[in-house]
Amino acid sequence: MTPSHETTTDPNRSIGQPSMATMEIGVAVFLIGFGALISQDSWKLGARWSELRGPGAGYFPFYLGIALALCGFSILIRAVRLRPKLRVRFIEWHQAVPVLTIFVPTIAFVGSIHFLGFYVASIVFVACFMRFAGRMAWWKCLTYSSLPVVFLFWLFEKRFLVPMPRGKVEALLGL
Amino acid sequence: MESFTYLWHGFQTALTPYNFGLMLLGITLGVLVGVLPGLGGPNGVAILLPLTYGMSLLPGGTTSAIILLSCIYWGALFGGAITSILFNIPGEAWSVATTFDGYPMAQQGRAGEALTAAFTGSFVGALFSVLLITFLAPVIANFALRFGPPAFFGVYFLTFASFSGTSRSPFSKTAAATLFGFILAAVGMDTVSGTLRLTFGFETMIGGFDFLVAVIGLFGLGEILLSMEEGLAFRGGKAKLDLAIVFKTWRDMFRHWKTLLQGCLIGAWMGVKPGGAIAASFMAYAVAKRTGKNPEEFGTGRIEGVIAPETAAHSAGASALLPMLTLGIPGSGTAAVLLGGLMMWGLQPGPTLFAEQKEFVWGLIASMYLSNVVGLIVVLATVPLFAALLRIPFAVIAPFIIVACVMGAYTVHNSMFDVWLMLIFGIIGYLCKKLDYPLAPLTLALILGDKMEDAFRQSLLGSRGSLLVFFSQPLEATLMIAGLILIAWPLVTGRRRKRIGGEGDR
Repeated sequence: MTPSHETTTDPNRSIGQPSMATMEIGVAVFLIGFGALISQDSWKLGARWSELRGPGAGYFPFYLGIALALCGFSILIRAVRLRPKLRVRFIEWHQAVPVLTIFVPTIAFVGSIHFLGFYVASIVFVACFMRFAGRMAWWKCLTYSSLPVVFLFWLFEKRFLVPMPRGKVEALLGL
Repeated sequence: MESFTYLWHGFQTALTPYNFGLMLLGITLGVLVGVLPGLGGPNGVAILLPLTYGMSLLPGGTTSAIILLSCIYWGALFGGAITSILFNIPGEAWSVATTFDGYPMAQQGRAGEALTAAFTGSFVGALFSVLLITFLAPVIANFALRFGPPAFFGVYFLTFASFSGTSRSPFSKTAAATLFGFILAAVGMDTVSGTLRLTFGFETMIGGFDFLVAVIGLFGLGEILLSMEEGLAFRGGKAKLDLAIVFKTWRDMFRHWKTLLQGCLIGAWMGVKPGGAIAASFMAYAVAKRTGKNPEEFGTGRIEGVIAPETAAHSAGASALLPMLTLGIPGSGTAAVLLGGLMMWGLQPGPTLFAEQKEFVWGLIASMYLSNVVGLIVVLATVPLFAALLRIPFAVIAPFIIVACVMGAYTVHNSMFDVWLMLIFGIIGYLCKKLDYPLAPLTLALILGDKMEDAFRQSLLGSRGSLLVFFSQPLEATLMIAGLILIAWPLVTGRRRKRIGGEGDR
C-alpha cells in the first residue's frame, strides 16, 4: 500500500527534487494535452454524426479525449489547491537509488536481447544484478542465473515450442 | 435440474488426470504468484496466457486452459494471506485487512492458527460464491440473452460507474484512469469502419495495444519498481503448521460461524462489482468488529479479524466470475485478464456462452468446487515451503520476475516492440501507484473498450443518433440511472464530509 502522502510534510525539502505537487501538476497537464491531442485527431477522422453511416470512427474517442482533458483539469485544480500539503518529495533518494538499480539494468537487458538473444541476455542480466546489487559471490550468481534459464530454454523451446529471440551462442552450441 | 446434469459432466471433465494435474500446477503457481512481491493475480495470469494459446487449440483444450488459469487465480487468493500474516506485507490489496489481526497473532506465536483460519475462511467464502454461481448464473445468462446493445451499454456503464464508489482514489483520478484505458483501446483499426485511428502514423500501432502487454507492464514491472523502493532487504521467516493446530483451529472456527456467514454474504455481494474484493475485505472486517463482543480487542490478534476479511475477499474473488460468465463483464482485475483469455481462445464472452459452450462453462464451474478443496489442502501442506521461499534474497527474485515479464510480453505476438511497450507501461504503472491513480479501471477499460464502443454505436445507429435510447426502456433506464447515482454519490458525500471535517479531499 502506498503511504498516504498528503498528510506528511517534509520541511527539509531540497531544491532540485520534484515534490508530489510538481508530479501531480505535471501529470495533470499531460492528461489535458493528451486529451486535446486525441480529440483533435479524432475530429479529423470524423467525429460527427453522418446520416449515411451513423457515428464516425472518431465519434467515441473524440468525447473520450474531451472528458480526459476535463479530468486532467480537475486534477490540476485539486493539486494546485492542495499544494501546501503536497510539498513532500515524490521519491526520497534512498528509495530512488534501488528503483534505478533495477530499472536501468532492465533497459540494458531488453536492449541487449536484440544482440545476444533472450537466453544469454537473461543469464547476463540476472547474474550481474545478483553480483552488483545483491553482492553475492560470482559462482553463486552464475549458477543461480544459468540453471533456471537453461530450464526455461528447455521448457519453451523444446516443450512448448515457443521461440524466443536467439543470438549467436545458441547457434554455436548447436541448439 | 438440467444444470445438474451439466455440472455432473463438468466434474467428469475436471477430474480427468490431465485437468487435475493442471489444477495442482495452477494452484501451486498461483500461491507462488500471490506470495512473491511484484507478481500478482492479474499479472501472473497475463504472463501465462500466451502459453495457453497452443493448449486451447486441442479438443476440449479451452476448458483445460481456463482450469489452469482460474486455479492460478485461486492460488493467488490463498497466497496473499501468507505474507500478510507472517510478514505484515500484504501480497495483494485485498489482504491488507488480514494484516490487522493476522500479524499480531503471528507475533504471539499463533501463526499456524491464523493461517489455518485464513485458509479455511477463504475456502468457505469461495464455496459459498461458487454455489451461488451454480444456481444464479444460468438464470442471469438466460435473462441477459434478451439484452440489446443499449442494455449492454448500460451494464458496461454501471460497471465502470461502480469503480468510483469502490475506489479509494479521488473521483477525477479514477475517471482519468478509465478514460485513458478507453483511449488506448481505441488505438488501431476501427472495428466498424476499418479506418485507422490514433496511430499518429506509426505502423506498429495498427494492431492497437494488446491488453496483456499493458497488464504485465502495469502490474508486473510497476509493482517491482515500487517494491524496490523498500530496498533489497526482505525479511523471510519460518512458519510451522501441524495437523494438531489445524484441527484445533477448525474446532474453534465453528464458534465463529456468524463471522464466516457475514464474510460470505458481504463478499458475494461486493464481488459482483469491479474492485469488490478489496472493499469487501475491509467492510467484512469493520462489520465483524462492530458486531463482535469485544470490539476494542480487534487489532491485537483476534481470530475473527482474520476470518472476516479472508472469507469476504475469497467469496468476492469467486463471485467476480459470475458477471464474467453471464454478461462478459469481469468483476475483478484477474477476472478481466481471464476474460481477455476467453476472447483470445476464440470464445465469445457474454450470455451466449452458457448456451453455446456448455462443456466449457460447466467444466469451469465444477473445477471451481474441486480446485478450492485441492487449494485448501495444498496451501495447508506447503505453507512452510512458501515461507522458506521468502528467505531467498530479493536480489535473486527481482531479476527473475523481470525476465518472466519480458518473456510474457514477448510471447504475446513474438515481437520485441511489445517488450519495449511493456517497459513504458511499467513506468506508467509505477507513476499511477505513486500518484494514486487506480489501475483496475484502466485495465478493464482497455479490455472492454471495443465492446463498449460497439454497443454504443449500435445503439445510436438504432436510434438515429439520439442519446435518449439509453433511457427509453425501463431496464436500460434503471441501469443508466443507477450508474449515474454511483458516480454522483462520492461527489456529494465527499463534499459534505469536507464541509464537516474541514480537511482532506478523500
